[in-house]
Order: sequence, then C-alpha cells, then structure tokens
Amino acid sequence: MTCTKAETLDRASLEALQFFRLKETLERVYARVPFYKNAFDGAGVSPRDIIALCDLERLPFTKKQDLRDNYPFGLFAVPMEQIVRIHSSSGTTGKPTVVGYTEHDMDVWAEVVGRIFTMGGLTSCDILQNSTGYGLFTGGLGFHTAAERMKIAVVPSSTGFTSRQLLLLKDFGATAITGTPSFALHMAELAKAEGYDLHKDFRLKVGFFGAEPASRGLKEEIATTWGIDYHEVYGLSEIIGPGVAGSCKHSALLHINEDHFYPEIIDSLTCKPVPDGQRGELVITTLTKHGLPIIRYRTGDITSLTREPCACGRTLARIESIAGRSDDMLVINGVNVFPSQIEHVLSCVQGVTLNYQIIAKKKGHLDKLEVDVELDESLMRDDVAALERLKKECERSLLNHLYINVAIRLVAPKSIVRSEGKAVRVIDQRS
Amino acid sequence: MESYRLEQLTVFVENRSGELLAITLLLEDEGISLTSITLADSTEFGLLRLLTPEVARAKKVLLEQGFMAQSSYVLGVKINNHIGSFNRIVRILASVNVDIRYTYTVNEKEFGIFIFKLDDEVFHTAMTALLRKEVALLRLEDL
Repeated sequence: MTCTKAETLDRASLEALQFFRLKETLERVYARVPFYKNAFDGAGVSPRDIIALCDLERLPFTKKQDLRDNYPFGLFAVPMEQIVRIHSSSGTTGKPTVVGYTEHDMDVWAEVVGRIFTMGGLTSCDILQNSTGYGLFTGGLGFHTAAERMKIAVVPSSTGFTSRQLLLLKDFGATAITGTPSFALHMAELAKAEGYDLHKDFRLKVGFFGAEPASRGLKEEIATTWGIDYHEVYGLSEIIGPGVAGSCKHSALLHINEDHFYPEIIDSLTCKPVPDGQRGELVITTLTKHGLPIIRYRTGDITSLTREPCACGRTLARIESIAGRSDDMLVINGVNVFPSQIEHVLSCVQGVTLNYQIIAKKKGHLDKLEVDVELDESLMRDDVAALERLKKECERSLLNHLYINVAIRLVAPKSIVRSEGKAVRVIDQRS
Repeated sequence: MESYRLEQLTVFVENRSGELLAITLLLEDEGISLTSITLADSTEFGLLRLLTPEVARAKKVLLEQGFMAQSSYVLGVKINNHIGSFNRIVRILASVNVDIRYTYTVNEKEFGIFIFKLDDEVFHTAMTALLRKEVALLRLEDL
C-alpha cells in the first residue's frame, strides 16, 4: 500500500525518463499518424530536432477540433487489431471525439488510476461502489478496470437511481465510492430524507470524486457529511480518462502522473509558457500511450503547477483543482457541454430559432440546465399541443445527442435580450 | 359563404407576470374593442385567443410591439339558450365527420355564441352542414 518508484523519482531521473518516452512517442506519431507528420512538417520541426524536454515548445498544439476533423480513427497510431477499447464523447456538430486504447494503454490506465486509489488507502480488502457513469464516457469503466486489477470488489452501480444506490451502499457495505461531487451531496441529502444515519449505516471511509469543479467548501461538506476522506481525480478522455492526476492525503493539490502525461501550463492567449505557480491553460503530451498518442493537447482547463515536493513523499508535480475553462465549455453533472453543441441540436429542430439562452442552475446539489429558445414566428400555430410537442422534441433531441437533461422554455420572438457584439449565450447561476 | 369565416387572433404569451397586462393595455391604448378573450395555457406558456371587429389593426399593433400574433379562422354559431342546443351542433358536425379542435363560448344578451376551431380542410363541410340544418352562423359584422 505504498506508492510506486516512478512516483518518487528525483527530478533529474524523472526528466530523463520523460525525455526518453517523449522521443519514442514523437517518432511513433511522426511515422504513423499523417496528421502529426503534416503538423510537424508544417512547423518545420522533425522529431530529431527535439533534443531536450524544453524543445517540445517548438511543436504545434493538438486541439479538440483536430480529433473531430479526424473522426473517427484518423489519429490512431496503431491498426485496429491492436485496439481493445473505444470510448467517445458527445459531438458538437454530430462528430464526437473518439479515443482508442491498446492492451498496453489499458495497463497504463489501470496503473495511473490505481495510484490514486492507493493514495486513498484502497487495497484488495475494500469494496468500491463505482457511482460514476458507465458507457461511452471514460469515467465509470476507467475506475472499474483499475479497481478490478487491484482486486478491489467493484459494485458497478453507475450514476442515478439514488435510492437504490443507498440501499446497495448500506447492504453491501462499500468502503469506498466514486462519483461527481454533486452526486455525492445529492446522495447524502436523499439518505437523510430516507432516514439513514450517514455515519452509522454506511461503512464508507473514502471517496474519489471528479469530472466537475468543486470548491473547497463543497469538498469539506462532502467529507464531513459522509465522514470520509475526499480525494479528487482529474482526467479527460483525450488524454486517457480519469487518472491523469489525483490528490493524496496530504494536500488539496493533485499529483499529475507526469511519467505518463507531460504537463505544460501556457497563457491561453499568447500560448507562451507561464512560470510554476501561475495560472494558465494545462497542455498535456502523452508519453506512453500507443493507441492514441497526443502531442501538446490543449485541455482548456485552467490550473497552476508546482514541482515542490509533497509531504507524502511523491515527487510528481502537482496541479491545483481546475479553476475554470479557457473556453465556454460547461460541466453539467460531470458531463461536458459546449453551447455550440446545444445550438447545433436546436438548429435541427423545426419551429425554434437560434436565439437562445442557456441557464445553468443548482437544484439541490445537482446541476440543472435550462434553455430559453425563441419560437420561429412563421411556424407559430394556434395549437397548445403542437407547442408542447415542440418543447418535448427539443428536450428529447438534446438528451439523445448530448446525454443531458435540459428543460426547454419556449419564449416569444425577440424576448431574449440582444447584446451588442458577442451574444451572451450562457448564464451560470451556480456559484 | 366566406363571410362566415371569423378571423381569430392568437397571441403567444409567456407565463410571466405582467405579460397579459402588456397586451390588454396595448389594445386599450389603441382603442380596440374585444368581443372575446380566452387564454389556453400550458404550464409554461399560454395562447391568448382574441375576437375583435378590428382584427387587422389589432394584429398590426401587436406585431409592431413585438408580440407573436397569428390569425386563423373559426366558426361562430348562435344558439338559443336552452338545454341541448350545444349538443345539437356537435351532433351535426359529427354527422359529417368534422372534428372540433377546441371550442369556447361568448356571452351575448339574447343568445349564446359558440366558437369552434376546426381544421381548415373541413371548414367548408361544417359550414354547409350547419347552414343546411338552419343553424345561425355568425358573420364578421356581428362581432
């Protein structure tokens, strides 16, 4: 139940390892992924020109759009026969971002998530209720595989069905749980309402939470309410899924598994690196992935980095909890949503216009998304049922395409306030 | 026969306080009288249905003020105030397979008026059937 050698390497050895792995990755993508060959050639840099870690700056960034442009498998660096798992996120313009894993990648994934479970003290004696969404989303299965390999008993409860989750939690006696912070609070609230005693009826001692931002106050509330240690997990499917970074018992900062994921922090506007301790956009290069290696990926997440050693003994650099986004992405109960995705879905519905406003609210502890959308004047009919059908159609389309529940409100034309210049599409009332 | 097509105005009303007032104030300011006003509502919005002798002008001022107003045709039926008179009309319409979208009443001193919303395709059928049974239909100038 201790950390691995890789997590405690001295900086020089770690950087040597990172450089060795970086070179290997660059050679691999240059030879096997036409997108990277073109990008590197375009920038006038060949993998041979990279002779130190800091030379990485000379290479172009990879953006989410590049994954979409190469949908579905264009950025894969191995033939399909070596891919053993495919995950995907919801798409903006109908094109989702697709990620693939080889057997080796699955090992890496299990290892990095396993490190975070170890930080939380999990061993094969534990029972983990995995209340993170399963399916195409990387969260549920990412935790699942890692826990199984550690011989932890996994309860694949996924999200939702809160009453049943509570019943399982009590009867199976899980000692650990995963999920979004908002779901953890929602569960606590329902548990109290259903008459459970949160400290006596459950055996939980630790929780691993992520996929959405949580303030320090929120984390403390979850920890106290449930009487558990709170560990934060950071990850994104483009890099690997959960497991990119996680917090130990000793600080609120998250150790980034930098022997697998090389972090840079840049100024999102100038794209220049910012010094340690200063906030900027996190950029990650995968160092060990085979299926979908990714070079200088713009995560859009705003954070800062410190290489100060941690009291836990790990030497891995740490990032702070994500402070925000460099773009307009919304995180709704752990699911990423771009306003442009909502716009695209609405554009396919006859009867509404593209004058809309997105309002993110808190309902209890869960996020609630409302969209006001102006009716198309020319399609207005003297028919209440038809308008209600139109509302339902919008809601169903959003659920089918983006996997989110949205409450649509039909409003009269020109009733949404027009702003000069860039439209104010999103009103976030959650904080 | 065309004069039996009564033009009804439908205005989209958001469920917000003051929304209805804004519409009625506007019509009052313009001196537009209303023969009938009904509100069909769902949980989140309403459709305000208006009958007025000045339908064209009402529509114009509403649209100018940014309201969503649309006109459509309804059929008005005058009936005597006794039991079974509404039933008689419904029976006649059913006999020629005309479905009623919705209906509402307008009170008059001597007689009652029923307004029927019908699909456009069956409007003529309904009108003919009712006239044949000597049912009194409302004309625009009766409003």
